Amino acid sequence: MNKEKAFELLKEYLLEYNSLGFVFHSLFIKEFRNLLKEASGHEKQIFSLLIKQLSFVKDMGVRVNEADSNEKLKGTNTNIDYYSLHIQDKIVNIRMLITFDNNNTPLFLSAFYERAGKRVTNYDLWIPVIKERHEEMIGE
Amino acid sequence: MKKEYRCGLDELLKIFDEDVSAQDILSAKVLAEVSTIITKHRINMKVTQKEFAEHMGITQGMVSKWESKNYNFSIKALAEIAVKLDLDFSVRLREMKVVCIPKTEERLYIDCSNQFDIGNAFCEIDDFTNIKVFSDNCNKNMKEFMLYN
Repeated sequence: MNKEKAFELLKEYLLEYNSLGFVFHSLFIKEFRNLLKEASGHEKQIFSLLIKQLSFVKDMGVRVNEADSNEKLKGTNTNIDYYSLHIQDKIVNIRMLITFDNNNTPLFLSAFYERAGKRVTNYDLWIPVIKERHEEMIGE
Repeated sequence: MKKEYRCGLDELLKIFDEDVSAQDILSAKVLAEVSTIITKHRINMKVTQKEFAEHMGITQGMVSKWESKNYNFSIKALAEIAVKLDLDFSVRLREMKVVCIPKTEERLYIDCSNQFDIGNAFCEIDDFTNIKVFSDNCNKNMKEFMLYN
Protein backbone atom coordinates (compact mmCIF):
# COMPACT_ATOMS: atom_id res chain seq x y z
CA MET A 1 0.00 0.00 0.00
CA ASN A 2 1.33 3.42 -0.84
CA LYS A 3 1.10 6.51 1.35
CA GLU A 4 -1.73 8.04 -0.63
CA LYS A 5 -3.97 5.03 0.02
CA ALA A 6 -3.01 4.99 3.70
CA PHE A 7 -4.03 8.66 3.96
CA GLU A 8 -7.33 7.84 2.26
CA LEU A 9 -8.04 5.07 4.78
CA LEU A 10 -7.17 7.43 7.63
CA LYS A 11 -9.51 10.12 6.27
CA GLU A 12 -12.24 7.55 5.82
CA TYR A 13 -11.92 6.64 9.51
CA LEU A 14 -11.77 10.25 10.73
CA LEU A 15 -14.70 11.38 8.60
CA GLU A 16 -16.87 8.33 9.36
CA TYR A 17 -20.37 9.51 10.41
CA ASN A 18 -18.94 13.00 10.42
CA SER A 19 -19.95 14.41 7.08
CA LEU A 20 -19.16 17.93 8.19
CA GLY A 21 -15.56 16.97 8.87
CA PHE A 22 -13.00 19.13 10.61
CA VAL A 23 -12.37 22.78 9.83
CA PHE A 24 -9.05 24.47 10.55
CA HIS A 25 -8.33 28.19 10.59
CA SER A 26 -5.66 28.95 8.01
CA LEU A 27 -3.45 30.36 10.80
CA PHE A 28 -3.88 27.15 12.79
CA ILE A 29 -2.36 25.27 9.84
CA LYS A 30 0.48 27.80 9.66
CA GLU A 31 1.11 27.56 13.41
CA PHE A 32 1.10 23.77 13.32
CA ARG A 33 3.55 23.74 10.43
CA ASN A 34 5.90 25.99 12.42
CA LEU A 35 5.55 23.84 15.55
CA LEU A 36 6.51 20.83 13.51
CA LYS A 37 9.64 22.57 12.22
CA GLU A 38 10.66 23.34 15.80
CA ALA A 39 10.11 19.72 16.79
CA SER A 40 12.24 18.30 14.01
CA GLY A 41 12.87 14.58 14.54
CA HIS A 42 9.59 14.07 16.42
CA GLU A 43 7.17 14.41 13.51
CA LYS A 44 5.97 10.80 13.71
CA GLN A 45 5.12 11.05 17.42
CA ILE A 46 3.30 14.33 16.87
CA PHE A 47 1.39 12.88 13.94
CA SER A 48 0.24 9.88 15.96
CA LEU A 49 -0.88 12.03 18.91
CA LEU A 50 -2.61 14.50 16.60
CA ILE A 51 -4.59 11.70 14.94
CA LYS A 52 -5.57 10.44 18.39
CA GLN A 53 -6.95 13.88 19.30
CA LEU A 54 -8.84 14.12 16.00
CA SER A 55 -10.33 10.71 16.77
CA PHE A 56 -11.36 11.90 20.25
CA VAL A 57 -13.01 14.98 18.72
CA LYS A 58 -14.79 12.84 16.14
CA ASP A 59 -16.14 10.37 18.69
CA MET A 60 -16.66 12.53 21.77
CA GLY A 61 -17.58 15.89 20.28
CA VAL A 62 -18.28 18.48 22.98
CA ARG A 63 -17.25 15.94 25.65
CA VAL A 64 -13.68 15.87 24.32
CA ASN A 65 -12.53 17.72 27.45
CA GLU A 66 -13.22 14.55 29.46
CA ALA A 67 -10.28 12.77 27.81
CA ASP A 68 -6.92 12.78 29.59
CA SER A 69 -5.34 16.25 29.95
CA ASN A 70 -7.85 18.00 27.70
CA GLU A 71 -9.87 20.80 29.26
CA LYS A 72 -12.62 23.34 28.69
CA LEU A 73 -11.31 26.90 28.90
CA LYS A 74 -12.45 29.02 31.82
CA GLY A 75 -12.66 32.80 32.00
CA THR A 76 -13.48 33.33 28.36
CA ASN A 77 -16.32 35.76 29.24
CA THR A 78 -18.58 34.28 26.60
CA ASN A 79 -21.23 31.59 26.45
CA ILE A 80 -19.25 29.83 23.71
CA ASP A 81 -17.28 26.81 24.87
CA TYR A 82 -13.62 26.71 23.89
CA TYR A 83 -11.53 23.58 24.44
CA SER A 84 -7.85 22.92 24.88
CA LEU A 85 -6.53 19.64 23.49
CA HIS A 86 -3.15 18.37 24.59
CA ILE A 87 -0.51 16.71 22.45
CA GLN A 88 2.09 15.56 24.91
CA ASP A 89 4.84 12.99 25.02
CA LYS A 90 8.39 12.94 26.38
CA ILE A 91 9.57 15.81 24.19
CA VAL A 92 6.38 17.20 22.70
CA ASN A 93 4.02 19.58 24.51
CA ILE A 94 1.49 21.25 22.23
CA ARG A 95 -1.91 22.77 22.95
CA MET A 96 -4.62 23.09 20.31
CA LEU A 97 -7.55 25.42 21.00
CA ILE A 98 -10.84 24.51 19.37
CA THR A 99 -14.56 25.15 19.48
CA PHE A 100 -17.66 23.72 17.78
CA ASP A 101 -20.07 25.55 15.49
CA ASN A 102 -23.87 25.27 15.60
CA ASN A 103 -23.72 22.04 13.58
CA ASN A 104 -21.18 20.59 16.03
CA THR A 105 -18.44 20.81 13.42
CA PRO A 106 -15.10 21.18 15.22
CA LEU A 107 -13.26 24.40 14.41
CA PHE A 108 -9.52 24.36 15.12
CA LEU A 109 -8.43 27.85 16.00
CA SER A 110 -4.89 27.95 17.34
CA ALA A 111 -1.89 25.75 18.19
CA PHE A 112 1.08 26.61 20.39
CA TYR A 113 3.85 25.11 22.48
CA GLU A 114 3.22 24.89 26.16
CA ARG A 115 6.31 25.71 28.17
CA ALA A 116 7.83 22.73 29.98
CA GLY A 117 7.11 22.40 33.67
CA LYS A 118 3.96 24.51 33.66
CA ARG A 119 1.29 22.82 35.70
CA VAL A 120 -1.48 25.21 34.67
CA THR A 121 -1.60 26.65 31.18
CA ASN A 122 -2.23 30.39 30.99
CA TYR A 123 -4.66 31.00 28.19
CA ASP A 124 -5.09 34.74 28.79
CA LEU A 125 -3.01 35.68 25.77
CA TRP A 126 -4.78 33.18 23.54
CA ILE A 127 -8.41 33.87 24.37
CA PRO A 128 -8.67 37.13 22.35
CA VAL A 129 -6.84 35.44 19.48
CA ILE A 130 -9.18 32.46 19.28
CA LYS A 131 -12.26 34.66 19.66
CA GLU A 132 -11.14 36.75 16.71
CA ARG A 133 -10.36 33.68 14.60
CA HIS A 134 -13.68 32.10 15.53
CA GLU A 135 -15.44 35.26 14.31
CA GLU A 136 -13.43 35.14 11.11
CA MET A 137 -14.46 31.55 10.48
CA ILE A 138 -18.17 31.93 11.13
CA GLY A 139 -18.62 35.55 9.99
CA GLU A 140 -20.73 36.38 6.97
CA MET B 1 -18.90 31.75 6.33
CA LYS B 2 -15.59 33.14 5.20
CA LYS B 3 -13.92 30.55 3.08
CA GLU B 4 -10.53 32.25 2.99
CA TYR B 5 -9.89 31.35 6.63
CA ARG B 6 -11.19 27.80 6.46
CA CYS B 7 -9.00 24.79 5.63
CA GLY B 8 -9.90 21.11 5.50
CA LEU B 9 -8.35 17.92 6.85
CA ASP B 10 -6.31 17.46 3.67
CA GLU B 11 -4.39 20.65 4.33
CA LEU B 12 -3.48 19.54 7.84
CA LEU B 13 -2.40 16.06 6.74
CA LYS B 14 -0.33 17.56 3.92
CA ILE B 15 2.01 19.06 6.53
CA PHE B 16 3.14 15.55 7.42
CA ASP B 17 3.44 14.24 3.89
CA GLU B 18 7.24 14.06 3.88
CA ASP B 19 7.63 12.88 7.45
CA VAL B 20 5.36 9.86 7.78
CA SER B 21 5.25 6.54 5.96
CA ALA B 22 2.20 4.44 5.05
CA GLN B 23 3.00 2.29 8.12
CA ASP B 24 3.07 5.37 10.38
CA ILE B 25 -0.33 6.44 9.04
CA LEU B 26 -1.96 3.04 9.55
CA SER B 27 -0.49 2.57 13.02
CA ALA B 28 -1.59 6.08 14.06
CA LYS B 29 -5.11 5.24 12.88
CA VAL B 30 -5.27 1.97 14.84
CA LEU B 31 -3.78 3.52 18.00
CA ALA B 32 -6.30 6.35 17.76
CA GLU B 33 -9.17 3.89 17.40
CA VAL B 34 -8.03 1.83 20.40
CA SER B 35 -7.42 4.86 22.64
CA THR B 36 -10.75 6.38 21.69
CA ILE B 37 -12.67 3.19 22.49
CA ILE B 38 -10.97 2.79 25.89
CA THR B 39 -11.39 6.48 26.79
CA LYS B 40 -15.05 6.52 25.75
CA HIS B 41 -15.63 3.38 27.77
CA ARG B 42 -14.15 5.03 30.88
CA ILE B 43 -16.20 8.19 30.33
CA ASN B 44 -19.40 6.19 29.83
CA MET B 45 -18.66 4.31 33.06
CA LYS B 46 -18.57 7.78 34.70
CA VAL B 47 -15.35 6.99 36.54
CA THR B 48 -12.08 8.84 36.99
CA GLN B 49 -8.81 7.49 35.64
CA LYS B 50 -7.93 6.37 39.17
CA GLU B 51 -11.19 4.42 39.56
CA PHE B 52 -10.81 2.99 36.06
CA ALA B 53 -7.24 1.89 36.91
CA GLU B 54 -8.54 0.06 40.00
CA HIS B 55 -11.22 -1.63 37.88
CA MET B 56 -8.59 -2.74 35.36
CA GLY B 57 -5.99 -3.71 37.99
CA ILE B 58 -3.37 -1.31 36.66
CA THR B 59 -1.91 2.07 37.66
CA GLN B 60 -3.47 5.44 36.89
CA GLY B 61 -0.29 6.29 34.98
CA MET B 62 -0.94 3.39 32.64
CA VAL B 63 -4.51 4.60 31.99
CA SER B 64 -3.08 8.02 31.17
CA LYS B 65 -0.60 6.39 28.75
CA TRP B 66 -3.39 4.45 27.05
CA GLU B 67 -5.48 7.58 26.64
CA SER B 68 -3.05 10.25 25.65
CA LYS B 69 0.43 8.94 24.87
CA ASN B 70 1.93 6.89 22.06
CA TYR B 71 1.48 3.62 23.92
CA ASN B 72 2.19 0.62 21.72
CA PHE B 73 -0.42 -1.97 22.76
CA SER B 74 0.47 -5.63 22.34
CA ILE B 75 -2.20 -7.98 21.07
CA LYS B 76 -2.13 -9.77 24.43
CA ALA B 77 -2.70 -6.48 26.27
CA LEU B 78 -5.61 -5.61 23.98
CA ALA B 79 -7.15 -9.05 24.57
CA GLU B 80 -6.86 -8.50 28.34
CA ILE B 81 -8.50 -5.06 28.04
CA ALA B 82 -11.29 -6.53 25.92
CA VAL B 83 -11.99 -9.25 28.48
CA LYS B 84 -12.05 -6.77 31.38
CA LEU B 85 -14.34 -4.37 29.54
CA ASP B 86 -16.50 -7.07 27.96
CA LEU B 87 -15.62 -5.92 24.45
CA ASP B 88 -15.16 -7.89 21.28
CA PHE B 89 -11.61 -7.86 19.96
CA SER B 90 -10.28 -8.79 16.56
CA VAL B 91 -7.47 -7.83 14.24
CA ARG B 92 -8.53 -7.57 10.65
CA LEU B 93 -6.13 -7.43 7.75
CA ARG B 94 -8.23 -6.85 4.66
CA GLU B 95 -7.25 -7.35 1.09
CA MET B 96 -7.85 -4.29 -1.01
CA LYS B 97 -8.19 -3.72 -4.69
CA VAL B 98 -8.48 -0.39 -6.39
CA VAL B 99 -10.39 -0.20 -9.67
CA CYS B 100 -10.86 2.69 -12.06
CA ILE B 101 -14.01 3.06 -14.16
CA PRO B 102 -15.33 5.88 -16.35
CA LYS B 103 -17.19 8.55 -14.40
CA THR B 104 -20.19 8.11 -16.61
CA GLU B 105 -20.61 4.44 -15.59
CA GLU B 106 -23.24 3.67 -13.01
CA ARG B 107 -22.56 -0.04 -12.92
CA LEU B 108 -19.36 -1.73 -11.95
CA TYR B 109 -18.15 -5.14 -13.13
CA ILE B 110 -16.14 -6.85 -10.46
CA ASP B 111 -14.03 -9.72 -11.60
CA CYS B 112 -12.72 -10.98 -8.30
CA SER B 113 -15.23 -13.56 -7.13
CA ASN B 114 -12.83 -15.62 -5.07
CA GLN B 115 -11.09 -12.74 -3.41
CA PHE B 116 -13.74 -10.24 -2.44
CA ASP B 117 -17.10 -10.42 -0.68
CA ILE B 118 -18.81 -8.54 -3.45
CA GLY B 119 -18.59 -11.37 -5.94
CA ASN B 120 -18.32 -11.44 -9.66
CA ALA B 121 -21.13 -9.54 -11.35
CA PHE B 122 -22.40 -6.34 -12.78
CA CYS B 123 -23.74 -4.37 -9.84
CA GLU B 124 -25.29 -1.03 -9.12
CA ILE B 125 -22.54 1.04 -7.54
CA ASP B 126 -24.89 2.52 -4.97
CA ASP B 127 -25.81 -0.95 -3.72
CA PHE B 128 -22.41 -1.64 -2.25
CA THR B 129 -21.55 -0.58 1.23
CA ASN B 130 -18.19 -2.25 1.00
CA ILE B 131 -17.11 -0.22 -1.98
CA LYS B 132 -15.64 3.10 -1.03
CA VAL B 133 -15.15 5.89 -3.49
CA PHE B 134 -11.42 6.24 -3.22
CA SER B 135 -10.56 9.27 -5.30
CA ASP B 136 -10.93 10.93 -8.63
CA ASN B 137 -7.25 11.07 -9.31
CA CYS B 138 -6.71 8.06 -11.56
CA ASN B 139 -7.83 10.03 -14.55
CA LYS B 140 -9.86 13.16 -15.21
CA ASN B 141 -12.71 11.12 -16.66
CA MET B 142 -12.43 8.14 -14.35
CA LYS B 143 -13.54 7.40 -10.81
CA GLU B 144 -11.64 5.10 -8.54
CA PHE B 145 -13.02 2.61 -6.02
CA MET B 146 -11.39 0.76 -3.20
CA LEU B 147 -12.80 -2.72 -2.70
CA TYR B 148 -12.45 -4.53 0.59
CA ASN B 149 -12.32 -8.21 1.24
